[in-house]
Amino acid sequence: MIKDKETVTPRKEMADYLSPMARGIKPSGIRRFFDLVSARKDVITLGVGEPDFTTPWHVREAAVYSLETGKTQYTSNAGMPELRGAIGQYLNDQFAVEYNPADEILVTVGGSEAIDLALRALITPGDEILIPEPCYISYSPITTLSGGVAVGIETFAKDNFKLKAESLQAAITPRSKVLILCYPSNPTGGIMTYEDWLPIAKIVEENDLIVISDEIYAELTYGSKHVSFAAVPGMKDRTILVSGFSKAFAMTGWRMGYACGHTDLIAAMLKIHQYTVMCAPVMGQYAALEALSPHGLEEKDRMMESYNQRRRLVVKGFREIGLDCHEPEGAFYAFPSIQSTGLTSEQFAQRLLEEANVAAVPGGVFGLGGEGHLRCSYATSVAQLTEALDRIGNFVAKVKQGS
Amino acid sequence: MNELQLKVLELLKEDARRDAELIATMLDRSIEEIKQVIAELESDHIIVKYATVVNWSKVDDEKVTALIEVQITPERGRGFEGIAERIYLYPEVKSVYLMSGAYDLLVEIEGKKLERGCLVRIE
Ligand SMILES: Cc1ncc(COP(=O)(O)O)c(C=O)c1O
Repeated sequence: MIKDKETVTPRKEMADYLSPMARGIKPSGIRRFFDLVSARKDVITLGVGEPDFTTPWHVREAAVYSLETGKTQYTSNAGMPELRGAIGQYLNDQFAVEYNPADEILVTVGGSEAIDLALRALITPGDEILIPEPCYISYSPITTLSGGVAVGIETFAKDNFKLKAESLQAAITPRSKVLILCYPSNPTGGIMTYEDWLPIAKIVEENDLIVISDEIYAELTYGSKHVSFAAVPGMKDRTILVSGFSKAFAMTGWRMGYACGHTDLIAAMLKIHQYTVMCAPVMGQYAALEALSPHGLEEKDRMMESYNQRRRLVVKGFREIGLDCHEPEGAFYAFPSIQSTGLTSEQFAQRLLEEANVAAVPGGVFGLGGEGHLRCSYATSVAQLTEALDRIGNFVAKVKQGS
Repeated sequence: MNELQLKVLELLKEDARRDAELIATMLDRSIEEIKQVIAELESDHIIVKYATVVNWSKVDDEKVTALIEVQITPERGRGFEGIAERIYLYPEVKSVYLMSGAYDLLVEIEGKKLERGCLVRIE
């Protein structure tokens, strides 16, 4: 029996108790960088991947009303039937993909949980998971935690960071099992059109791959409308479509996302979801339902227009400064090249913060092909963007003059 | 009112100092076109003027703004108008709204601190 207050020294270093997988994953490079930022004053940050809008009032009000009327219980594990119905209808209207709300749609705690569930449901230890990079930072660590092996596939600015069939083909081995796609892309803003998808779909088919398609930025395309990978002929049953309310509906803090796919895959994910979180938060589900109402969709369109206006401003700004910036056609990030300054992305971001008080994420943290770039979120006010571009312009001029 | 005009108005309403070049970039139009739109909005008096939003309490902490609810008896033949006109002739009165509900006019006034006595006397 251990007596009260008596301390017992563990026999090993605490870290030695951790699993090799937990020890092996690196802390988020974005977080590490932003700990530096929070220590400074007057910093303009283009760092966070988050809308600058507050969730529209009618959506917040729906959650408040749900509380007032005592809707505080667990919902069905897969999410409220009304919400699954609304998601099915929405996906069909917007992206022409059809899912049965009864057994092909699962409401999750953010797109994040959907990605985790999909990988856990699919990976047998040793499976290779193909991940086009630069990409969102969670895919590779979650793959590792599930016992998979993350295989990066580099994409390039010269291709507007599209995934090319040759690169995908070259990465495939007999152990390849899953391909993770994220278009519109965080961090590059790259998109894939229907024509871009066709050769990818062919390789997926030939190699019997399963695809996790993270389409959380689907609503944020400027120019051509988003084409879901699940809408490419033959791909629906091979695809787990992941999305959520965080980005397009300005609902990051609510933690509302979903996964759609073949009933057998969704059923397996639902099992894991049941044991780990039971169900997504009920107030969030009521809010999400309201977000998909005609009024909610109107608000979403208003926000999209505003991102597009700021996108044009930022791209032009970078080009005037003399940084190559491919046209980001989706999401809310610009990913200019900083190679002409002769600095690495880490050095550039560090000095930009210290000497110009602007924070942005060094491209290197996003994996292969990210080095030499800077991720700048333009989901911030026009006044801040204008000021940030001024500061970056002065900084780049100074660096190029060699001081 | 077309869509372009509306977008220009929205951008100017957020910040009247945005110039035609910035707006042209944000809306993917030519500078000339935006200048033209703004000129039209001005000449049609849709844009009435460009004013500055001042935080007067930082300039002069004696200054106060108050909203006063006023009940009046309409005058024969002129309704509320005559009295409303009389009220807004006072320089301290910034605006007068005709209200529906428990009272008739809502008067916004601005002046020195209330301790100095009544700002406006309404007969
Ligand atoms: C590509 C991508 N997928 C998923 C997520 C996670 O979003 P959620 O808030 O729905 O978990 C993010 C958030 O940054 C993202 O950029």
